[in-house]
Amino acid sequence: MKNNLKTSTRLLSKNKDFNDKFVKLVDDKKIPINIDYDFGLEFLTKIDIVIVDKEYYMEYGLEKLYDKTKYIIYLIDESDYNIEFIEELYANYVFDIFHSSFIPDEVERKLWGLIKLLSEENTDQILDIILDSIEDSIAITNDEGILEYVNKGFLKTTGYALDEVIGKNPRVLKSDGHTPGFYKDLWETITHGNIWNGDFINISKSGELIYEEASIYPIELSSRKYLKIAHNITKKKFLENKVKLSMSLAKNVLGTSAPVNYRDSRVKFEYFVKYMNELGGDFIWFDKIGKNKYFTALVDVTGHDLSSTLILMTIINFIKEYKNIRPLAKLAEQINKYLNDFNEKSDIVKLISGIFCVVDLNVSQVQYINAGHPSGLIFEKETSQLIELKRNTLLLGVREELPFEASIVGINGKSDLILYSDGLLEYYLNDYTEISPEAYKKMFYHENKLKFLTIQKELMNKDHIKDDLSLAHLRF
Amino acid sequence: MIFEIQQEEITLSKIDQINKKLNVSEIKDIKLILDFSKVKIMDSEGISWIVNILNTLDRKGITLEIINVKSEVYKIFEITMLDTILNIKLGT
Repeated sequence: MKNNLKTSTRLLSKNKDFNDKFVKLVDDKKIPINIDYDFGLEFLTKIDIVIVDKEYYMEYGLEKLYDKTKYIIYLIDESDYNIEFIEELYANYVFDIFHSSFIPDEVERKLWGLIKLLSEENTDQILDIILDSIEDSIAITNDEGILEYVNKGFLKTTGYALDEVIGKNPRVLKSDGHTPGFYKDLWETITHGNIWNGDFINISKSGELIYEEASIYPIELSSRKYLKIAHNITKKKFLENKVKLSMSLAKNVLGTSAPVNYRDSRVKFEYFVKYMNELGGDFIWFDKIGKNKYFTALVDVTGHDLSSTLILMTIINFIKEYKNIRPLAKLAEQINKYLNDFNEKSDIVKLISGIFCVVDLNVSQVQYINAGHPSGLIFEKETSQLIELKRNTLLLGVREELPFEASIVGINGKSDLILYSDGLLEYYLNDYTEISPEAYKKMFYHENKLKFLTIQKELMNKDHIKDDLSLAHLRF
Repeated sequence: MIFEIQQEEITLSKIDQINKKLNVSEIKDIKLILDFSKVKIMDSEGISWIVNILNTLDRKGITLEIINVKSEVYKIFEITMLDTILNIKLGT
Protein backbone atom coordinates (compact mmCIF):
# COMPACT_ATOMS: atom_id res chain seq x y z
CA MET A 1 0.00 0.00 0.00
CA LYS A 2 2.92 2.36 0.67
CA ASN A 3 3.83 2.37 -3.02
CA ASN A 4 0.46 3.68 -4.00
CA LEU A 5 0.91 7.13 -2.52
CA LYS A 6 -1.68 9.41 -3.98
CA THR A 7 -0.42 12.61 -2.39
CA SER A 8 -0.30 15.75 -4.50
CA THR A 9 1.67 18.82 -3.65
CA ARG A 10 -0.12 22.04 -4.45
CA LEU A 11 1.82 25.26 -4.69
CA LEU A 12 0.07 28.46 -3.78
CA SER A 13 2.85 30.91 -4.37
CA LYS A 14 3.23 34.03 -6.41
CA ASN A 15 6.99 33.80 -6.08
CA LYS A 16 8.01 32.68 -9.57
CA ASP A 17 11.62 32.14 -8.62
CA PHE A 18 10.67 29.79 -5.79
CA ASN A 19 8.23 27.92 -8.02
CA ASP A 20 10.84 27.28 -10.68
CA LYS A 21 13.46 26.09 -8.18
CA PHE A 22 10.93 23.84 -6.47
CA VAL A 23 9.81 22.19 -9.71
CA LYS A 24 13.43 21.64 -10.76
CA LEU A 25 14.25 20.02 -7.42
CA VAL A 26 11.28 17.66 -7.61
CA ASP A 27 12.20 16.69 -11.18
CA ASP A 28 15.94 16.27 -10.52
CA LYS A 29 15.54 14.29 -7.32
CA LYS A 30 12.62 12.28 -8.67
CA ILE A 31 10.62 13.04 -5.60
CA PRO A 32 7.36 11.13 -6.09
CA ILE A 33 4.90 13.95 -5.69
CA ASN A 34 2.59 15.65 -8.13
CA ILE A 35 2.78 19.40 -8.44
CA ASP A 36 -0.25 21.43 -9.26
CA TYR A 37 -0.17 25.22 -9.57
CA ASP A 38 -3.59 26.31 -10.48
CA PHE A 39 -6.29 24.61 -8.50
CA GLY A 40 -9.44 25.15 -6.56
CA LEU A 41 -9.70 24.24 -2.91
CA GLU A 42 -12.51 21.80 -3.70
CA PHE A 43 -9.95 19.42 -5.26
CA LEU A 44 -7.83 19.18 -2.15
CA THR A 45 -7.79 15.91 -0.29
CA LYS A 46 -6.86 15.27 3.30
CA ILE A 47 -3.47 13.88 2.38
CA ASP A 48 -2.38 16.61 0.01
CA ILE A 49 0.49 18.95 0.85
CA VAL A 50 -0.15 22.65 0.36
CA ILE A 51 2.68 25.10 0.11
CA VAL A 52 1.31 28.53 0.62
CA ASP A 53 2.90 31.96 0.69
CA LYS A 54 1.70 35.04 2.44
CA GLU A 55 -0.27 36.37 -0.49
CA TYR A 56 -2.38 33.26 -0.78
CA TYR A 57 -2.56 32.90 2.93
CA MET A 58 -4.18 36.33 3.06
CA GLU A 59 -6.56 35.29 0.30
CA TYR A 60 -7.77 31.95 1.74
CA GLY A 61 -6.93 32.09 5.40
CA LEU A 62 -5.06 29.19 6.95
CA GLU A 63 -8.11 28.02 8.82
CA LYS A 64 -9.97 27.39 5.60
CA LEU A 65 -7.01 25.51 4.17
CA TYR A 66 -6.68 23.42 7.30
CA ASP A 67 -10.25 22.25 6.86
CA LYS A 68 -9.05 20.67 3.65
CA THR A 69 -5.68 19.24 4.55
CA LYS A 70 -3.48 18.66 7.56
CA TYR A 71 -0.25 19.29 5.65
CA ILE A 72 0.30 22.97 5.07
CA ILE A 73 3.78 24.29 4.42
CA TYR A 74 4.17 27.98 4.82
CA LEU A 75 6.53 29.72 2.45
CA ILE A 76 8.15 32.42 4.43
CA ASP A 77 9.89 35.57 3.23
CA GLU A 78 11.98 38.09 5.05
CA SER A 79 9.07 40.38 5.81
CA ASP A 80 7.50 37.56 7.83
CA TYR A 81 10.43 37.18 10.17
CA ASN A 82 8.41 37.80 13.21
CA ILE A 83 8.98 35.04 15.72
CA GLU A 84 5.53 35.36 17.25
CA PHE A 85 3.91 34.99 13.89
CA ILE A 86 5.96 31.88 13.09
CA GLU A 87 5.17 30.37 16.47
CA GLU A 88 1.51 30.97 15.85
CA LEU A 89 1.73 29.29 12.47
CA TYR A 90 3.41 26.24 13.97
CA ALA A 91 1.12 26.07 16.94
CA ASN A 92 -2.06 26.15 14.95
CA TYR A 93 -1.91 24.92 11.45
CA VAL A 94 1.38 24.71 9.73
CA PHE A 95 3.21 21.46 9.32
CA ASP A 96 6.49 22.98 8.27
CA ILE A 97 8.06 26.13 6.90
CA PHE A 98 10.18 26.65 3.80
CA HIS A 99 12.28 29.68 3.34
CA SER A 100 11.66 31.57 0.14
CA SER A 101 15.42 31.82 -0.30
CA PHE A 102 15.17 28.06 -1.06
CA ILE A 103 17.87 25.80 0.32
CA PRO A 104 17.54 22.67 -1.86
CA ASP A 105 18.88 20.17 0.74
CA GLU A 106 16.52 21.46 3.37
CA VAL A 107 13.51 21.39 1.04
CA GLU A 108 14.38 17.90 -0.16
CA ARG A 109 14.82 16.56 3.39
CA LYS A 110 11.52 18.02 4.46
CA LEU A 111 9.68 16.70 1.42
CA TRP A 112 10.98 13.15 1.88
CA GLY A 113 10.11 13.31 5.54
CA LEU A 114 6.62 14.36 4.60
CA ILE A 115 6.26 11.63 2.01
CA LYS A 116 7.33 8.99 4.51
CA LEU A 117 4.89 10.25 7.10
CA LEU A 118 2.08 10.45 4.61
CA SER A 119 2.78 6.94 3.32
CA GLU A 120 2.44 5.53 6.81
CA GLU A 121 -0.61 7.58 7.59
CA ASN A 122 -2.06 6.62 4.24
CA THR A 123 -1.60 2.94 4.98
CA ASP A 124 -3.27 3.28 8.35
CA GLN A 125 -6.05 5.26 6.77
CA ILE A 126 -6.65 2.64 4.08
CA LEU A 127 -6.66 -0.12 6.71
CA ASP A 128 -9.14 1.86 8.78
CA ILE A 129 -11.37 2.38 5.77
CA ILE A 130 -11.27 -1.37 4.98
CA LEU A 131 -11.81 -2.55 8.54
CA ASP A 132 -14.58 -0.04 9.16
CA SER A 133 -16.40 -0.94 5.97
CA ILE A 134 -16.70 -4.57 7.15
CA GLU A 135 -19.95 -5.26 8.96
CA ASP A 136 -18.34 -8.08 10.94
CA SER A 137 -17.00 -7.19 14.32
CA ILE A 138 -13.19 -7.02 14.53
CA ALA A 139 -11.27 -6.60 17.75
CA ILE A 140 -7.63 -6.89 18.74
CA THR A 141 -6.54 -7.46 22.31
CA ASN A 142 -3.12 -7.62 23.87
CA ASP A 143 -1.78 -10.78 25.49
CA GLU A 144 -3.72 -10.00 28.66
CA GLY A 145 -6.98 -9.74 26.78
CA ILE A 146 -7.23 -5.95 26.96
CA LEU A 147 -8.90 -4.37 23.92
CA GLU A 148 -6.49 -2.29 21.84
CA TYR A 149 -8.45 -1.95 18.62
CA VAL A 150 -12.06 -2.36 17.56
CA ASN A 151 -13.66 -1.52 14.22
CA LYS A 152 -16.96 0.24 13.61
CA GLY A 153 -18.69 -3.15 13.18
CA PHE A 154 -17.74 -3.99 16.78
CA LEU A 155 -19.12 -0.69 18.07
CA LYS A 156 -22.31 -1.06 16.05
CA THR A 157 -22.90 -4.63 17.26
CA THR A 158 -22.19 -3.94 20.93
CA GLY A 159 -23.63 -0.43 21.16
CA TYR A 160 -20.54 0.86 22.99
CA ALA A 161 -18.52 3.98 22.11
CA LEU A 162 -14.82 3.62 21.27
CA ASP A 163 -13.59 5.15 24.54
CA GLU A 164 -15.86 2.81 26.52
CA VAL A 165 -14.09 -0.32 25.28
CA ILE A 166 -10.50 0.53 24.39
CA GLY A 167 -8.27 -0.39 27.32
CA LYS A 168 -11.03 -2.57 28.80
CA ASN A 169 -11.45 -6.33 29.02
CA PRO A 170 -14.07 -7.79 26.63
CA ARG A 171 -15.76 -9.37 29.66
CA VAL A 172 -18.06 -6.32 29.67
CA LEU A 173 -19.85 -8.21 26.86
CA LYS A 174 -20.19 -11.44 28.85
CA SER A 175 -23.66 -12.91 29.17
CA ASP A 176 -24.88 -15.82 31.27
CA GLY A 177 -24.99 -17.92 28.12
CA HIS A 178 -21.68 -19.73 28.68
CA THR A 179 -20.16 -21.84 31.39
CA PRO A 180 -16.82 -20.81 32.97
CA GLY A 181 -15.38 -23.85 31.17
CA PHE A 182 -16.25 -22.25 27.83
CA TYR A 183 -13.98 -19.25 28.50
CA LYS A 184 -11.30 -21.45 30.04
CA ASP A 185 -11.21 -23.64 26.92
CA LEU A 186 -11.11 -20.55 24.68
CA TRP A 187 -8.25 -18.95 26.61
CA GLU A 188 -6.26 -22.20 26.75
CA THR A 189 -6.67 -22.68 22.99
CA ILE A 190 -5.41 -19.25 22.00
CA THR A 191 -2.68 -18.94 24.61
CA HIS A 192 -1.26 -22.20 23.20
CA GLY A 193 -1.05 -20.48 19.82
CA ASN A 194 -4.08 -22.22 18.30
CA ILE A 195 -7.05 -20.72 16.49
CA TRP A 196 -10.33 -20.84 18.40
CA ASN A 197 -13.61 -21.16 16.51
CA GLY A 198 -17.01 -21.07 18.13
CA ASP A 199 -20.21 -19.21 18.84
CA PHE A 200 -20.48 -16.44 21.42
CA ILE A 201 -23.58 -15.36 23.27
CA ASN A 202 -22.73 -11.83 24.34
CA ILE A 203 -24.71 -8.96 25.71
CA SER A 204 -24.88 -5.47 24.21
CA LYS A 205 -24.67 -2.20 26.14
CA SER A 206 -28.46 -1.98 26.07
CA GLY A 207 -28.74 -5.52 27.48
CA GLU A 208 -29.76 -7.37 24.32
CA LEU A 209 -28.30 -10.77 23.54
CA ILE A 210 -25.87 -10.91 20.61
CA TYR A 211 -25.11 -14.25 18.95
CA GLU A 212 -21.79 -14.29 17.11
CA GLU A 213 -19.98 -16.90 15.06
CA ALA A 214 -16.37 -16.08 15.83
CA SER A 215 -12.75 -16.99 15.24
CA ILE A 216 -9.89 -15.82 17.41
CA TYR A 217 -6.39 -15.84 15.94
CA PRO A 218 -3.18 -15.51 17.96
CA ILE A 219 -0.84 -13.09 16.17
CA GLU A 220 2.84 -12.69 16.88
CA LEU A 221 3.85 -9.04 16.55
CA SER A 222 6.35 -7.33 18.87
CA SER A 223 4.21 -8.99 21.51
CA ARG A 224 1.38 -11.55 21.29
CA LYS A 225 -1.95 -10.11 20.16
CA TYR A 226 -5.31 -11.78 19.64
CA LEU A 227 -7.48 -10.93 16.65
CA LYS A 228 -11.16 -11.73 16.92
CA ILE A 229 -13.38 -11.68 13.83
CA ALA A 230 -17.04 -12.27 14.55
CA HIS A 231 -20.12 -12.51 12.36
CA ASN A 232 -23.42 -11.46 13.88
CA ILE A 233 -25.84 -14.40 13.70
CA THR A 234 -28.46 -13.05 16.12
CA LYS A 235 -31.21 -12.98 13.47
CA LYS A 236 -30.35 -16.49 12.31
CA LYS A 237 -30.38 -17.75 15.92
CA PHE A 238 -33.71 -16.07 16.53
CA LEU A 239 -35.21 -17.83 13.50
CA GLU A 240 -33.59 -21.12 14.54
CA ASN A 241 -35.10 -20.80 17.99
CA LYS A 242 -38.52 -20.18 16.44
CA VAL A 243 -38.12 -23.27 14.24
CA LYS A 244 -36.96 -25.27 17.27
CA LEU A 245 -40.04 -24.14 19.15
CA SER A 246 -42.27 -25.22 16.25
CA MET A 247 -40.42 -28.52 16.07
CA SER A 248 -40.79 -29.11 19.75
CA LEU A 249 -44.52 -28.33 19.47
CA ALA A 250 -44.83 -30.75 16.57
CA LYS A 251 -42.94 -33.38 18.56
CA ASN A 252 -45.34 -32.92 21.48
CA VAL A 253 -48.33 -33.29 19.17
CA LEU A 254 -46.73 -36.41 17.69
CA GLY A 255 -46.13 -37.70 21.23
CA THR A 256 -49.80 -37.37 22.12
CA SER A 257 -50.62 -39.58 19.11
CA ALA A 258 -48.41 -42.44 20.25
CA PRO A 259 -50.17 -45.60 21.46
CA VAL A 260 -49.70 -46.98 24.95
CA ASN A 261 -48.32 -50.43 25.62
CA TYR A 262 -51.25 -52.86 25.78
CA ARG A 263 -52.00 -56.20 27.38
CA ASP A 264 -55.08 -58.38 27.65
CA SER A 265 -55.69 -62.11 28.12
CA ARG A 266 -54.79 -62.86 24.48
CA VAL A 267 -52.08 -60.37 23.50
CA LYS A 268 -49.31 -58.11 24.72
CA PHE A 269 -48.13 -55.09 22.72
CA GLU A 270 -44.94 -53.15 23.40
CA TYR A 271 -42.87 -50.79 21.30
CA PHE A 272 -40.27 -48.03 21.27
CA VAL A 273 -39.11 -45.34 18.86
CA LYS A 274 -35.71 -43.69 19.15
CA TYR A 275 -35.67 -40.53 17.06
CA MET A 276 -32.45 -39.44 15.38
CA ASN A 277 -33.34 -35.77 15.88
CA GLU A 278 -36.11 -33.61 17.27
CA LEU A 279 -38.45 -34.75 14.55
CA GLY A 280 -38.89 -38.35 13.69
CA GLY A 281 -40.11 -39.91 10.52
CA ASP A 282 -41.18 -43.18 12.14
CA PHE A 283 -44.55 -43.87 13.72
CA ILE A 284 -46.01 -46.98 15.35
CA TRP A 285 -49.69 -47.60 16.06
CA PHE A 286 -51.68 -50.29 17.84
CA ASP A 287 -55.41 -50.68 18.39
CA LYS A 288 -57.84 -53.40 19.38
CA ILE A 289 -60.40 -53.34 16.60
CA GLY A 290 -62.77 -56.13 17.55
CA LYS A 291 -63.09 -59.27 19.62
CA ASN A 292 -59.71 -61.02 19.44
CA LYS A 293 -58.81 -58.73 16.55
CA TYR A 294 -55.94 -56.27 16.59
CA PHE A 295 -54.48 -53.71 14.23
CA THR A 296 -50.86 -52.54 14.26
CA ALA A 297 -48.79 -50.46 11.85
CA LEU A 298 -45.28 -49.07 11.49
CA VAL A 299 -44.69 -46.28 8.98
CA ASP A 300 -41.56 -44.38 7.99
CA VAL A 301 -41.80 -41.02 6.21
CA THR A 302 -38.80 -39.93 4.13
CA GLY A 303 -36.87 -37.09 5.77
CA HIS A 304 -36.53 -35.88 9.35
CA ASP A 305 -37.77 -32.34 9.16
CA LEU A 306 -40.87 -30.37 10.00
CA SER A 307 -42.48 -31.19 6.65
CA SER A 308 -42.03 -34.93 7.34
CA THR A 309 -43.72 -34.53 10.71
CA LEU A 310 -46.62 -32.57 9.23
CA ILE A 311 -47.15 -35.30 6.61
CA LEU A 312 -46.87 -37.93 9.32
CA MET A 313 -49.54 -36.20 11.42
CA THR A 314 -52.02 -36.41 8.55
CA ILE A 315 -51.13 -40.05 7.90
CA ILE A 316 -51.57 -40.82 11.60
CA ASN A 317 -55.17 -39.64 11.32
CA PHE A 318 -55.79 -42.12 8.48
CA ILE A 319 -54.17 -44.91 10.52
CA LYS A 320 -56.08 -44.11 13.70
CA GLU A 321 -59.31 -44.14 11.73
CA TYR A 322 -58.57 -47.62 10.44
CA LYS A 323 -61.45 -49.05 12.47
CA ASN A 324 -63.80 -47.09 10.23
CA ILE A 325 -61.88 -47.49 6.98
CA ARG A 326 -61.29 -51.21 6.65
CA PRO A 327 -60.13 -53.20 4.78
CA LEU A 328 -56.30 -52.74 4.78
CA ALA A 329 -56.23 -52.18 1.01
CA LYS A 330 -58.51 -49.18 1.45
CA LEU A 331 -56.18 -47.66 4.08
CA ALA A 332 -53.11 -48.07 1.85
CA GLU A 333 -55.04 -46.59 -1.06
CA GLN A 334 -56.06 -43.53 0.96
CA ILE A 335 -52.50 -42.84 2.19
CA ASN A 336 -51.11 -43.38 -1.30
CA LYS A 337 -53.63 -40.99 -2.84
CA TYR A 338 -52.94 -38.32 -0.21
CA LEU A 339 -49.17 -38.52 -0.81
CA ASN A 340 -49.49 -38.49 -4.60
CA ASP A 341 -51.73 -35.42 -4.43
CA PHE A 342 -49.21 -33.74 -2.12
CA ASN A 343 -46.22 -34.63 -4.34
CA GLU A 344 -48.05 -33.40 -7.45
CA LYS A 345 -48.51 -29.94 -5.94
CA SER A 346 -45.24 -29.69 -4.05
CA ASP A 347 -41.60 -29.11 -4.99
CA ILE A 348 -40.50 -31.73 -2.50
CA VAL A 349 -41.42 -35.40 -2.61
CA LYS A 350 -42.60 -37.22 0.50
CA LEU A 351 -42.90 -40.99 0.46
CA ILE A 352 -43.90 -43.52 3.05
CA SER A 353 -42.79 -47.06 3.55
CA GLY A 354 -44.87 -49.00 6.00
CA ILE A 355 -46.30 -52.23 7.16
CA PHE A 356 -49.96 -52.52 8.19
CA CYS A 357 -51.17 -55.68 9.94
CA VAL A 358 -54.44 -57.06 11.22
CA VAL A 359 -54.04 -60.00 13.62
CA ASP A 360 -57.30 -61.96 13.76
CA LEU A 361 -57.07 -64.61 16.47
CA ASN A 362 -60.61 -65.81 15.69
CA VAL A 363 -59.38 -67.33 12.42
CA SER A 364 -55.66 -67.60 13.37
CA GLN A 365 -54.34 -65.41 10.60
CA VAL A 366 -52.46 -62.22 9.96
CA GLN A 367 -53.42 -59.96 7.07
CA TYR A 368 -50.83 -57.44 5.99
CA ILE A 369 -49.80 -54.88 3.45
CA ASN A 370 -46.09 -54.16 3.24
CA ALA A 371 -45.49 -51.02 1.16
CA GLY A 372 -41.80 -50.92 0.30
CA HIS A 373 -40.74 -51.71 3.88
CA PRO A 374 -38.29 -54.29 5.27
CA SER A 375 -40.02 -57.57 6.04
CA GLY A 376 -42.14 -57.85 9.18
CA LEU A 377 -41.55 -61.11 11.05
CA ILE A 378 -43.75 -63.71 12.67
CA PHE A 379 -41.93 -66.12 14.92
CA GLU A 380 -43.93 -69.22 15.79
CA LYS A 381 -42.69 -70.39 19.16
CA GLU A 382 -43.75 -74.03 19.01
CA THR A 383 -42.23 -74.70 15.62
CA SER A 384 -39.45 -72.05 15.89
CA GLN A 385 -40.44 -71.12 12.37
CA LEU A 386 -39.83 -67.60 11.12
CA ILE A 387 -42.28 -66.18 8.58
CA GLU A 388 -41.33 -63.05 6.63
CA LEU A 389 -44.08 -60.54 5.85
CA LYS A 390 -42.42 -59.48 2.61
CA ARG A 391 -43.26 -56.38 0.66
CA ASN A 392 -46.30 -56.75 -1.53
CA THR A 393 -46.65 -53.25 -2.85
CA LEU A 394 -44.62 -50.20 -3.85
CA LEU A 395 -43.53 -47.43 -1.52
CA LEU A 396 -46.54 -45.12 -1.01
CA GLY A 397 -46.60 -41.78 -2.84
CA VAL A 398 -44.74 -42.86 -6.00
CA ARG A 399 -47.55 -43.99 -8.30
CA GLU A 400 -51.28 -43.32 -8.38
CA GLU A 401 -53.93 -45.95 -8.97
CA LEU A 402 -51.93 -48.85 -7.58
CA PRO A 403 -53.86 -52.07 -6.99
CA PHE A 404 -53.60 -52.87 -3.29
CA GLU A 405 -54.26 -56.33 -1.94
CA ALA A 406 -53.49 -57.61 1.53
CA SER A 407 -51.55 -60.87 1.90
CA ILE A 408 -52.75 -63.46 4.40
CA VAL A 409 -50.56 -65.65 6.61
CA GLY A 410 -51.87 -68.47 8.81
CA ILE A 411 -50.49 -68.70 12.33
CA ASN A 412 -49.96 -71.79 14.44
CA GLY A 413 -49.95 -71.43 18.18
CA LYS A 414 -48.22 -68.78 20.26
CA SER A 415 -46.25 -66.31 18.16
CA ASP A 416 -44.47 -62.97 18.11
CA LEU A 417 -45.19 -60.36 15.44
CA ILE A 418 -42.17 -58.07 15.04
CA LEU A 419 -42.19 -54.84 13.08
CA TYR A 420 -39.08 -52.66 12.82
CA SER A 421 -37.68 -49.75 10.84
CA ASP A 422 -34.96 -49.88 8.20
CA GLY A 423 -32.85 -47.80 10.60
CA LEU A 424 -32.83 -50.67 13.09
CA LEU A 425 -31.90 -53.15 10.38
CA GLU A 426 -28.99 -50.96 9.26
CA TYR A 427 -27.90 -50.52 12.87
CA TYR A 428 -27.52 -54.27 13.41
CA LEU A 429 -26.49 -55.50 9.98
CA ASN A 430 -23.72 -54.12 7.80
CA ASP A 431 -24.94 -56.05 4.82
CA TYR A 432 -28.63 -56.68 4.57
CA THR A 433 -28.81 -57.51 0.89
CA GLU A 434 -29.70 -61.10 1.81
CA ILE A 435 -30.84 -61.82 5.36
CA SER A 436 -31.26 -65.41 6.42
CA PRO A 437 -33.87 -66.52 9.02
CA GLU A 438 -30.90 -67.30 11.27
CA ALA A 439 -29.67 -63.72 11.00
CA TYR A 440 -33.10 -62.41 11.95
CA LYS A 441 -33.26 -64.80 14.91
CA LYS A 442 -29.80 -63.77 16.05
CA MET A 443 -30.78 -60.14 15.84
CA PHE A 444 -34.02 -60.42 17.83
CA TYR A 445 -33.76 -63.61 19.95
CA HIS A 446 -31.66 -65.16 22.61
CA GLU A 447 -32.46 -68.84 23.19
CA ASN A 448 -35.94 -68.43 21.70
CA LYS A 449 -36.67 -65.46 23.93
CA LEU A 450 -37.24 -62.07 22.29
CA LYS A 451 -34.56 -59.55 23.37
CA PHE A 452 -37.00 -56.64 23.31
CA LEU A 453 -35.87 -54.98 26.55
CA THR A 454 -32.17 -55.51 25.78
CA ILE A 455 -32.56 -53.94 22.34
CA GLN A 456 -34.67 -51.11 23.72
CA LYS A 457 -32.14 -50.36 26.46
CA GLU A 458 -29.20 -50.44 24.08
CA LEU A 459 -30.75 -48.25 21.42
CA MET A 460 -32.49 -45.69 23.63
CA ASN A 461 -29.10 -44.92 25.23
CA LYS A 462 -27.35 -44.28 21.92
CA ASP A 463 -26.32 -40.66 21.37
CA HIS A 464 -25.56 -40.49 17.67
CA ILE A 465 -27.69 -42.52 15.31
CA LYS A 466 -28.10 -42.17 11.55
CA ASP A 467 -31.84 -42.86 11.32
CA ASP A 468 -34.88 -43.35 13.53
CA LEU A 469 -34.81 -46.73 15.25
CA SER A 470 -38.15 -48.32 16.01
CA LEU A 471 -39.39 -51.71 17.10
CA ALA A 472 -42.89 -53.02 17.78
CA HIS A 473 -43.75 -56.39 19.27
CA LEU A 474 -47.14 -58.03 19.46
CA ARG A 475 -47.22 -61.30 21.36
CA PHE A 476 -50.30 -63.48 20.81
CA MET B 1 -27.72 -38.07 -21.73
CA ILE B 2 -25.50 -39.88 -19.25
CA PHE B 3 -24.84 -38.26 -15.89
CA GLU B 4 -22.32 -39.83 -13.56
CA ILE B 5 -22.95 -39.08 -9.91
CA GLN B 6 -19.61 -38.12 -8.38
CA GLN B 7 -20.71 -38.44 -4.77
CA GLU B 8 -20.42 -41.72 -2.86
CA GLU B 9 -23.60 -40.96 -0.95
CA ILE B 10 -27.02 -39.83 -2.07
CA THR B 11 -28.09 -38.38 1.24
CA LEU B 12 -29.60 -35.07 2.35
CA SER B 13 -26.25 -33.33 2.68
CA LYS B 14 -25.05 -34.42 -0.79
CA ILE B 15 -28.23 -33.90 -2.82
CA ASP B 16 -27.69 -30.13 -3.13
CA GLN B 17 -24.21 -30.78 -4.55
CA ILE B 18 -25.59 -33.23 -7.11
CA ASN B 19 -28.42 -30.86 -8.10
CA LYS B 20 -25.88 -28.12 -8.82
CA LYS B 21 -24.52 -30.29 -11.66
CA LEU B 22 -27.74 -31.96 -12.74
CA ASN B 23 -30.59 -29.69 -13.80
CA VAL B 24 -33.32 -32.16 -14.65
CA SER B 25 -35.80 -29.52 -15.83
CA GLU B 26 -33.41 -28.47 -18.62
CA ILE B 27 -32.81 -31.94 -20.08
CA LYS B 28 -33.76 -32.11 -23.76
CA ASP B 29 -32.73 -35.72 -24.54
CA ILE B 30 -35.30 -38.51 -24.66
CA LYS B 31 -33.50 -40.46 -21.97
CA LEU B 32 -31.53 -39.69 -18.82
CA ILE B 33 -29.05 -42.33 -17.69
CA LEU B 34 -27.82 -41.94 -14.13
CA ASP B 35 -24.50 -43.70 -13.59
CA PHE B 36 -24.34 -44.95 -10.01
CA SER B 37 -20.78 -46.39 -10.25
CA LYS B 38 -19.53 -44.32 -7.33
CA VAL B 39 -22.66 -44.48 -5.16
CA LYS B 40 -22.27 -46.62 -2.07
CA ILE B 41 -24.98 -45.24 0.20
CA MET B 42 -28.50 -44.00 -0.48
CA ASP B 43 -30.93 -43.05 2.28
CA SER B 44 -34.63 -42.20 2.27
CA GLU B 45 -33.88 -38.62 1.16
CA GLY B 46 -32.03 -40.15 -1.78
CA ILE B 47 -35.08 -42.23 -2.66
CA SER B 48 -37.28 -39.12 -2.57
CA TRP B 49 -34.76 -37.38 -4.82
CA ILE B 50 -34.88 -40.21 -7.39
CA VAL B 51 -38.70 -40.26 -7.35
CA ASN B 52 -38.74 -36.48 -7.79
CA ILE B 53 -36.49 -36.84 -10.86
CA LEU B 54 -38.68 -39.66 -12.16
CA ASN B 55 -41.84 -37.54 -11.80
CA THR B 56 -40.24 -34.53 -13.51
CA LEU B 57 -39.00 -36.66 -16.41
CA ASP B 58 -42.36 -38.47 -16.71
CA ARG B 59 -44.14 -35.17 -17.20
CA LYS B 60 -41.74 -34.36 -20.06
CA GLY B 61 -41.92 -37.80 -21.63
CA ILE B 62 -38.27 -38.55 -20.85
CA THR B 63 -37.27 -42.03 -19.65
CA LEU B 64 -34.95 -42.68 -16.74
CA GLU B 65 -32.40 -45.44 -16.49
CA ILE B 66 -30.03 -46.10 -13.61
CA ILE B 67 -26.89 -48.08 -14.36
CA ASN B 68 -23.90 -49.57 -12.52
CA VAL B 69 -25.83 -49.87 -9.26
CA LYS B 70 -23.95 -51.59 -6.45
CA SER B 71 -25.73 -54.51 -4.77
CA GLU B 72 -26.17 -52.72 -1.43
CA VAL B 73 -27.86 -49.79 -3.17
CA TYR B 74 -29.83 -52.13 -5.44
CA LYS B 75 -31.24 -53.74 -2.29
CA ILE B 76 -32.87 -50.41 -1.34
CA PHE B 77 -34.58 -50.27 -4.74
CA GLU B 78 -35.75 -53.84 -4.13
CA ILE B 79 -37.08 -53.26 -0.61
CA THR B 80 -38.99 -50.18 -1.67
CA MET B 81 -40.09 -52.05 -4.81
CA LEU B 82 -38.92 -49.13 -6.93
CA ASP B 83 -37.15 -51.80 -8.98
CA THR B 84 -40.60 -52.67 -10.37
CA ILE B 85 -41.08 -49.27 -11.98
CA LEU B 86 -37.51 -48.11 -12.64
CA ASN B 87 -35.11 -49.36 -15.26
CA ILE B 88 -32.17 -50.32 -13.03
CA LYS B 89 -29.03 -52.21 -14.03
CA LEU B 90 -26.71 -53.78 -11.47
CA GLY B 91 -23.03 -52.98 -11.70
CA THR B 92 -20.03 -54.91 -10.50
